[in-house]
Amino acid sequence: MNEIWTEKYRPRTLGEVVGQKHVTERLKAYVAAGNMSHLLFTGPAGTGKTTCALAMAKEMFGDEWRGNLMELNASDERGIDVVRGKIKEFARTAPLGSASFKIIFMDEADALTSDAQAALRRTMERYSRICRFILSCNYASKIIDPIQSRCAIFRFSPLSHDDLREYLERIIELEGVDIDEDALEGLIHVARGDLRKAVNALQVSASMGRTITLDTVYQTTGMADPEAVKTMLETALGGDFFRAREMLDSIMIEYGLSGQDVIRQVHSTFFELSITDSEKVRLVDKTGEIEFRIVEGSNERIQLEALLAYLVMIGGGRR
Amino acid sequence: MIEDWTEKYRPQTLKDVIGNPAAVKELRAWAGSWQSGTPSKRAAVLAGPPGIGKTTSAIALANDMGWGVVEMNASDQRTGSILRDVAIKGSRFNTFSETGEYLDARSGGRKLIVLDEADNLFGTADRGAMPVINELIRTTEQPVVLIVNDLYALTRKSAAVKSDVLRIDFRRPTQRAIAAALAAIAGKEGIEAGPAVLDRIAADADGDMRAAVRNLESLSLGTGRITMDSLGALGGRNVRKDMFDVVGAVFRNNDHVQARRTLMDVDTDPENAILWIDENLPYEYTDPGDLVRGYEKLSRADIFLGRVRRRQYYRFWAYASDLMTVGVASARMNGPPSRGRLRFPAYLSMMSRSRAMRTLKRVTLSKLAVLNNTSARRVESDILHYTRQLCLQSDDYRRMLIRDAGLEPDELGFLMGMKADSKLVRSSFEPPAETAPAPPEADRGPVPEPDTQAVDPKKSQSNLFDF
Repeated sequence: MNEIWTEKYRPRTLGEVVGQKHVTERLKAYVAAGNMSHLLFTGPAGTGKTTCALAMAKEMFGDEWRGNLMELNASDERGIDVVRGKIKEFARTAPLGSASFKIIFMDEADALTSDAQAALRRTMERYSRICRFILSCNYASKIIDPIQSRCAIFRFSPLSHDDLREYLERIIELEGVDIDEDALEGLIHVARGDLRKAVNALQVSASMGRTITLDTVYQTTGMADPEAVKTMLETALGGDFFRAREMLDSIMIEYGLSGQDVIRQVHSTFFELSITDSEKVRLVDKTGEIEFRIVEGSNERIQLEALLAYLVMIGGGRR
Repeated sequence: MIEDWTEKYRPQTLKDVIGNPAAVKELRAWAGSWQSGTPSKRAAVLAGPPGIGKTTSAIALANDMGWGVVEMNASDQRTGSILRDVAIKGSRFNTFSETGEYLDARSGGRKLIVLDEADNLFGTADRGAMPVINELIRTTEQPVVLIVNDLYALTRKSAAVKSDVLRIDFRRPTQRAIAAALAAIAGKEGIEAGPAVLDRIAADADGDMRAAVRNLESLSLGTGRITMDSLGALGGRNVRKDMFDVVGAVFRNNDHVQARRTLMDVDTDPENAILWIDENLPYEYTDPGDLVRGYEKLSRADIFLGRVRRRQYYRFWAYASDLMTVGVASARMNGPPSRGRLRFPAYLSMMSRSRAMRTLKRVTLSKLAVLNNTSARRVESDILHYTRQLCLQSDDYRRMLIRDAGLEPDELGFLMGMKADSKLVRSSFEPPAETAPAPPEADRGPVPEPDTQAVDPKKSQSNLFDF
C-alpha cells in the first residue's frame, strides 16, 4: 500500500491501454513508422490521454525516451514567456541519441492563455522536423483554431463498463483485493468512465482492510445508494415531507455524505424519474440553485430541506 | 529527421498554392511593382482564416522572385526595439547579420520582410511594436508582408495599415480543390485512398488546407492506406458541424432529453454551446410565450455559467448544460417547428474581432491601477471616466500618464478613443517644442507637478485620492 495504484498500474505500452482502440491502433502505427504528426488529445479525465502520450514516447524512443520527451503542465506554466522561452528552446535543439525527433507533451493545454497559444503556432511549424507536439485538453473548443489546424485531433471517450471491469479485475487479482460482485459493479457505476477515479476508489476501499462491499464503495466515493436517493425523492414528490427528511438524515449520517455529495446525486437522479420534461427542467434549475446556496450558506441540511419542500409542492400539483 | 507533411508539401512557388487565384495574382503584381523602384504601397497585408496558404504564399513569393526572407512571428518577442533591429535595419541595409532566426537571408538582393501573426502583438510582452510597424510600413526600402487572421485587430491600432497597406484577402479553398490536392499527395506517398475517402477528409477540414493534409498524414502513417472505416480514428475537426448538431437537437427534435446527451457527446464546453443556442432561439421560437420561456431557461443557464467563472466551481456547468438543452427544448409550447436554416453565432465573430481591443483595455486598466493605488476593477468602475476626460482636455495630463504609468501610444489612444497613430496621440509622445503652437484644446495652465495635477480639483479628488 505504499504505492499509488494509478501510477503502479498505468499502462506502459500502447497495447496495455484500455479502450480507445481507434486511437491506440493509430498510435501503434506511428510507432511502427517511427513518425507522427502533431497531435491534439481531447476528452474527459481518466480516459488515457497522458497514458497514451507517455506510452507512445517510450515505444517510439526506447531507452532514450526521457531525453527526448518534455512534459509540461500548462496550468502551471501557462504564460507566453514559457512558450517563447522554455518550449522554443527545447523544440529547436536536436534530438538525443538515435531519435529522429523529440516530443513535447503539454497537458491541460486549454489552460494556456490565448496569447501563449498564438505564440505557439509558428514554433510548431518551424521546428517540426525535429520536434512534434502532443497537446492534451478536455475540450477542443478551448484551443484556438490555428493550433487545431496544425494537429491531428484524437477524441478520447469515457471508458465502457467492460473496459473498466477488465482493468479493475486485473488489479484486484494482482493486489489480492477482497471485493464482492455488487461492490465491483458499484465502483464501475460511480466512476462513470473515469478509470483514474475507479482505481483511486478501489485503492481507498481496499485500504480499509476488510471485504469491500457496496457500502464501502459508497462511503469511500462520497455516494449514497442510488436507490435510497431515488426513494427519498419519490417520497417527497408523494407529499410526505417528514418521511423524506428522515431519509435525508439517514443518508447524510449513515453514508457520511456532505450536502454537496447528496445534491450531486439528486441532480443525476431526476432524469430517471417518471415526470414530465418541463418538471425535470424546473427541478434541475431548483437543484442548481440549492447547490449554489449550499456553497454560499452555512447549514446544508436547511438547504436540502428547502429542496424537499419544493418537491412536495411540485408533487402536489401532480396529485 | 523526418519531414512533417504540412511542411513537406508546403508549396514552394505561387503556382502551386491551392485556391485563391485572385489573391495570388494581386500578390504577384505587387511584387512586380518592386522591380521598378519603390511602389506606393510598400507593404501588403494577407488576411484570412488559418490553414489556407497565407504564410505559404508569402514565402513562395520570395522564392519566385529570388528574394531572401526575414520572418518574425508571435513565437519571437517583438518589442519595438527588437522589431526595429530586425525589420527596419533589415529593410534599410543590404547587409544583414545571420542568426538562426532568419530564414535564408541572401546577401545583397531584395529581402521580403514577413511579419507573421501580426494581429497577435501582446500588450506588455511586445511593448512599443505598433509605432515601429507603422514606421516600417511607410519607410521600408524592402517589401513587407503582414499576415493576420483578424485584420481588424491590426487596423484598429493603426490608421497606417488601413491607408498605406495593400490589402489582399485569402479565402477558404473549395472542398473540390482540397480533395484534388490530397489526391496528388496521396499519389506521391503511395497511399491507397479512394476518392470518397479523400472527399470526406476534405469536407471535414472545412476549408482548412493544412488541416486536410494533417489528417491525410495522421490517418495513413504506418499503414499506407485509408478506408472509410479508418476515418473514425480522428475526432471531428468540424466543430461547426457538431455545434449545428447540438442546436438541431435542441430545436428540431421531439425527444428533449436527447439534446442533453448530444451536448455531452460533442467536443465543446457549455460556454461555447450557449452562444449557439442563443443565436438560434429567436429564429426558432416565433411565439412570444415560447420565446419568453426559452430565454428564461437560457438566462438561468447563464447565471450558473457566471457562478462557475467567479468561483471556479465547475459542478454548476452540469445545471447550465441541462437548462440550455432540455430547458430550452421543452420551453416550446405554442409555436410551430421552424424550418429555416440554423445560424452561426454572430457574437462569436464579434468577439473575435474585439479580442485585441479587450486585451488593450485590460493592460491599460492595470497600468492606471498601479498609478492610482487601486485595482483594475476599481479603475474601470470609478476612475476611468475621469481619466478619459482629463486626457482629452489636457496635454500635460497625458504626458504625466505617459511618464508615470508608462502608457504606450495604443493605450493612450484607447483612453482618448483615437487611433494610436492619430496626430493628438503622437504629439503627446513628442518632446514639447517651445515654438510649436499649443494644441487648441490643451490645458494652458502652469506646468504641473506630477502629484498635484493642474486639473479641476473636484475631479482629481475622486480620481487620484481614491483608496
